[in-house]
Amino acid sequence: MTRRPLPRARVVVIGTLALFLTVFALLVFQLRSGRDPALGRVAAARATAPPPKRVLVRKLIVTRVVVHLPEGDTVVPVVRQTTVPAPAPAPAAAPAPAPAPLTSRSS
Amino acid sequence: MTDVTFRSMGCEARLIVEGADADRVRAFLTAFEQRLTRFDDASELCVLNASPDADVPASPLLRRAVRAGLWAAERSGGLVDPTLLAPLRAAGYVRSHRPSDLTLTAALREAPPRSPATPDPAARWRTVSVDDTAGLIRRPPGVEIDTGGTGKGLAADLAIRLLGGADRYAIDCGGDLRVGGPGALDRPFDIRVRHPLSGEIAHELRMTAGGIATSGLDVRLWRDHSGGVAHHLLDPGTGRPAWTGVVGATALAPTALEAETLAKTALLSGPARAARVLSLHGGLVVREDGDVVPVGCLRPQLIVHVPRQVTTA
Repeated sequence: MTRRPLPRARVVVIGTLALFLTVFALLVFQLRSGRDPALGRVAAARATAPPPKRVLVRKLIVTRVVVHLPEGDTVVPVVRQTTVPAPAPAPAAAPAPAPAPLTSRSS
Repeated sequence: MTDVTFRSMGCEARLIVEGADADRVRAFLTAFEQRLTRFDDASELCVLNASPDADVPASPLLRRAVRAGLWAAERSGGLVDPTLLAPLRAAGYVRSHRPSDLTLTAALREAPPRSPATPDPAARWRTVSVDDTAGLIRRPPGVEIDTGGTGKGLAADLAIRLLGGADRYAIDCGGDLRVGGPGALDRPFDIRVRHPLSGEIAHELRMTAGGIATSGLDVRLWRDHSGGVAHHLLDPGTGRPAWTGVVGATALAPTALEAETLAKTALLSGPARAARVLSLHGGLVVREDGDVVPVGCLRPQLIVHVPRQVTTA
């Protein structure tokens, strides 16, 4: 049984580098030409999918406080809302200044 | 318009009246306090409590106040109990108004473990009755009555009867409010609710009619004879100050009396049940970690509107 002679180390190293550079160059060429195999499917899907839709969502926070009056009084809804309608036009006389807000607190 | 602030019932009262005489209301509140205070032995309430008789003649105002206290006890399932005067004294509440010896935050650190309040199993308030026909209040001698738990709300409710013809009014008895009047339809009252821990505004709302009341632990805090922290809202089941995990509750209701009752009931019920107590008319629950929980109609309603037309990018 004859034994094959081992290749020289330099030949192995050079051969390996040459093969690596060859494959690397091919990949670089393919990527630069826009044919990325990893992104090919996504790009194709993008080309066919409809444009994304933007949904406008409006959030309105409205708090209503309804207090039922006892019998005999006029039923009046009590409303707290984030937007308050503008007051009616003032009559000839200047309106009285609004009092300071009331405070419900521990007593 | 009259906008006047003065001391009444151990706290600050405020009247805003348009189109009527506010002086009558102020005089009424003064008389109300004089006759129903438990800090003056000459008051009609103290005379009632000191009487050795079972049947005690009482004025219409005192009968009304006692009836309100009994109504509150019934409404709260016994949590707002008008017969806790002796335990209240034992806890150290012996003066009408006393500056707080300590802050609520500090009191919470020293307070005993939290638990919801429970009604007094003896339910002594059920032994009290009011006989309007005979003009009497009946109770076993020794059962003392304290109308303080419902007094401010009742006072506000009764005072509006003196404001016939008023266009717009607000009666503030120490933070228990009653507002109304036809003019309030166009110009509702702006009302702020104070946070019991921070003192800042916890909530703002506008009201045209009805009552709103707040019950909290941030006022009337003191140290009892043993050095422990105490306040004025007692657990009827133990006769000791209630530490439930709720430090403040605000209630809306058709009347100030009901609002005051609901606010106290919510605070005494603890965080697990407070929201349910307030759910009928709405309110706020302030937990001791500072969280403010809106309930019922005060709860913000989140409405998400998605238009049918969808724009494309």
